[in-house]
Amino acid sequence: MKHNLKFVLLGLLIAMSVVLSACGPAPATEAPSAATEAPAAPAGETIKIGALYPLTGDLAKLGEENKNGLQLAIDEINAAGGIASMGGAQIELVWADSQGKPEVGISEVTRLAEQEKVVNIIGAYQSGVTTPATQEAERLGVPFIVSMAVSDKITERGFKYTFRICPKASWYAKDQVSFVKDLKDLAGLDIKKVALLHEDTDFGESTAAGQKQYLKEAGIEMVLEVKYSASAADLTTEVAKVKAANPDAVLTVTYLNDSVLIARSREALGMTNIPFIDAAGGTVDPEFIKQLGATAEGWFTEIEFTKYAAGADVLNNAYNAKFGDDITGNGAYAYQAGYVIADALERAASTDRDAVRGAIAETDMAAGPKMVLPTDHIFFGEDGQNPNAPLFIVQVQNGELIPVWPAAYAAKPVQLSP
Amino acid sequence: MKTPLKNSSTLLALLLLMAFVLPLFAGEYLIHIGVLVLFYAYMAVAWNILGGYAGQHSLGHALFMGIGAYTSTYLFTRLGLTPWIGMWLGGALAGLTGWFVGYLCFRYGLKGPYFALVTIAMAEAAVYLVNNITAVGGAQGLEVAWTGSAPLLMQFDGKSGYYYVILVMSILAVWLSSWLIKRRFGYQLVSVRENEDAAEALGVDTLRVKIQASIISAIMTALGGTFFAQYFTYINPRNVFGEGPSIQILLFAIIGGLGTVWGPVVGALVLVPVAELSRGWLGGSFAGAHILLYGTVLVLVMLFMPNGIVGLYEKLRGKMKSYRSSNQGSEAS
Amino acid sequence: MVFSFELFGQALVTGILIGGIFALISVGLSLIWGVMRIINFAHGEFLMIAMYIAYFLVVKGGWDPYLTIFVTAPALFLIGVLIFQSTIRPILKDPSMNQIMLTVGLSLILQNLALVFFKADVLTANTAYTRLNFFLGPVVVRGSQLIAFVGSGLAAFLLYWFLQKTETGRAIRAASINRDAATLVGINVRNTYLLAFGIGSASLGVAASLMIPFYYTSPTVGLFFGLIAYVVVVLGGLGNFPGALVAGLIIGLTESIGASLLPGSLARVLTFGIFIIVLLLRPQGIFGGKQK
Repeated sequence: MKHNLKFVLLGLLIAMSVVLSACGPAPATEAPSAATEAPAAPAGETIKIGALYPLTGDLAKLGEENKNGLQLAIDEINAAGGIASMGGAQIELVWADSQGKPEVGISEVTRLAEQEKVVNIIGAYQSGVTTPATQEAERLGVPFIVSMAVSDKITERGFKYTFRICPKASWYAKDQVSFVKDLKDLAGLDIKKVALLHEDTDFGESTAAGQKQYLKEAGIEMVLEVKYSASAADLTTEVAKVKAANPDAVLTVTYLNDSVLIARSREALGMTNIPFIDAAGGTVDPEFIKQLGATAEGWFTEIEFTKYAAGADVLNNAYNAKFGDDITGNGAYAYQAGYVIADALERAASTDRDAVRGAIAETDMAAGPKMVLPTDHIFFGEDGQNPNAPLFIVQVQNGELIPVWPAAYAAKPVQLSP
Repeated sequence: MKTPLKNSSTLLALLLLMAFVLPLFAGEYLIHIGVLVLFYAYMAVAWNILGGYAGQHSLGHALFMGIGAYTSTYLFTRLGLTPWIGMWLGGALAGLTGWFVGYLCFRYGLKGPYFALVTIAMAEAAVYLVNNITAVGGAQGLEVAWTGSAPLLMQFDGKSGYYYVILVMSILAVWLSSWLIKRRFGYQLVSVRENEDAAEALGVDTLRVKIQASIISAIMTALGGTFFAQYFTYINPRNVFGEGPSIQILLFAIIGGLGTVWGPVVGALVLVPVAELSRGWLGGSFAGAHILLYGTVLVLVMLFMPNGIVGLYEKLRGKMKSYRSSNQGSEAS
Repeated sequence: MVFSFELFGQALVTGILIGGIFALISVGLSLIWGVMRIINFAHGEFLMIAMYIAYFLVVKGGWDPYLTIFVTAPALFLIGVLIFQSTIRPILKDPSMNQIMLTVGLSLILQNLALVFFKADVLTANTAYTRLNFFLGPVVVRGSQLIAFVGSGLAAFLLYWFLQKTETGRAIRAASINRDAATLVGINVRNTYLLAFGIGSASLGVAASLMIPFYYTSPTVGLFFGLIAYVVVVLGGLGNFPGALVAGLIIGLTESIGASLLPGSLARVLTFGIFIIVLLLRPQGIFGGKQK
């Protein structure tokens, strides 16, 4: 008897849920409010901005660089009087840890949007997290400013709430290859054969895909592609494999741990006469030079921000004073994101998410104290991508990252190792 | 096997009712936590069939989750096949794998920690293997593009749709779990767990029973994998195969109470909100603190409540009963 | 696929040297698992702690990395003993699953304590030995790895000698073979377990000091090495030291030569594949060893 009752009950419940889920979000009050729900904080007090980065896990160090840059910007903005058009409202950063995992990123976006009721989210450093996180933000109607995450697709999905300040992965690859071609004029090196050496997560793979494409277009032969796991205990074999292929130059995509291992192996194997060009990976971390000392000399890498660009030392000194290290591209772009949202809030004069979204879309910031990227202005295209995100090739010379390309920003000439 | 709530069907009915009406009152974030609780409860119940009932502790169950997630997502994104169908194909593939793993391991008599190690090795190997298969996205994984509300494609506007899907899945899983344990198959499983040699001597085909448990558990886990892919919209080898998700799957079964029907559910119900909320409070300001909390709870539970929450409940009930009966006895005399 | 004898030679040398380190990391686990049948998922995290200790002594204290052994080994012994007493001893008789889950919890705690104290920085020490290189023809032999290899062999040998030739060592072995019989013969089995756990942990201290000149430390450095230790122990046979050494070499070579021949990171799949096959076909390891 009881058994049959259970069956009936179960059947009823299943029928109910089919009906309920097919009807979409239950009461009418639910759906529309989610999109344009105004955050609780009234104007004149604090405005909540969400910040999603990997604060724990393997990429925590890089997450921290982003965090520092953003915090620096917001502190400056608040100290200078906050958002004037909203009665001097101060910006409050609500931090969210993605733990480096996509599903946690999505959880946190939901929490930031629904629980904390932030006006906007900035993040998320990793493409693997940013891709689904921006999709979730799109669904919830929260503008998302990508300060640093390079997978091309992020701004190729037709989203209205996603804005990206930083370059796309393919641009890194494009500039690396352009530099390789220019080495002929800069250093008399005729590069005909290139080997790729990259780590095996989406950062490495997406950049390598671009490298292969642009090398092909440039008519340069890719002689070998070596993928490795960034947690390897030793990379001598992988580097030896590259050596055996006899390349004229090597393009790498690394994180810090593996870049150190590769640098040491490269030196031990006597490959310092072959240019190694990294794609803004572990090599731009100040620790790379600190830990390797002389071994780091001669390495080329790409960066998004250089303190040698005109006026850039102001930001670098401020960052250094507060955090004890030079600012990296991660920090610089996060800093910029802070000013972008402040600028948008200023123009929107509202905490309504759609109004803010509209204001972000109309961003056009010229070079100055609030626009620190080495370009004359930044703005967002229809796809939400800022097309003016310059990249530089730098070389480690005497323990410093010296810009050597493009010509307009080269501080010193390329140095070749003997 | 007595479930602790068998005598309180009204309590159960009440809980179910509450679960069903939750989305009508709660905001998106609370519903989201509800989804997470139900998802991990579901996965823990699935794992429990092999790990709790049959006593074969698989530490690499994410292998099946990954198979389910990748199969349905690949078919969906490349061929447009609805995940409602794709999930069963994933389930079938996982069932086959479950058979294969079960046959291989149990045929060779692997038990306890050795079986656990093989499963972990398989799950990890799967990560590295799939990382290198560009056809399914390699390390970049697969993305489920959200194209708007499409219930027939397992996509919903807002979180409540997903909530109901996983709610029904969980209810069915618990129902299956409690049904199984009462049948002869269930008794056979428990006999294998308690004393395999004795079971064999009594005529139980222990190999067949274990393999069947492996298959059922694998299929259920794979279906959960599809849900994961649809809800989180992004999968890559690390987050659906591998040691990390494997540990997450069985965590709640252990803490809630191994080998019981409701243990896995209780475990998820207690721990998932704690983890989510602690990350919300502590995560941003005190990096790593929420995972620290997680680990500490785990150690404490293992030290002081080794039979899990349900085990503790049973123990207390047992004590209450003997207390009452001893009182009655003294009154009578 | 690029192949050359030079590459192969390089892979061979690197594989052997790294294999020695794998072996040392594993003998401690072999001891602990063999004696107490505990699967310690926090084994890698113990190594991580030791590496931090070694790192700070070298970088802040200016110590010679190899001298740090005198600190890391005793420190790890103490830490091992403390953790054993507080968390592991109470659950020695519990189902293995609970033991595993407890050590999983331990590993989460340790990883994140490291994160809280040391931040997520990846730390590499620049020592006098770091850029020391020898050449065997075209093949480069990293001096620091060679020293680590020799050191590992020495440490493993010492441990082996201790177990075979000393009274305490024999007591440990007796307790691992049959704890009831050992108790009957007057061996304090509890203390024996304590000692074994302490020594197993101390061996990680030695390994850490040897690794600091060429490897980095970070909160998550233990994940990979922990898993490799299991692979090596199973391959070499539980409680079998010479077996662990040979197994370490085999795995080191698999990873290294595999990386040179196979595309991408498939070498890791090979390592796990070997692991699975050994577990299935010969769980007592290639060289026999204690029965499970």
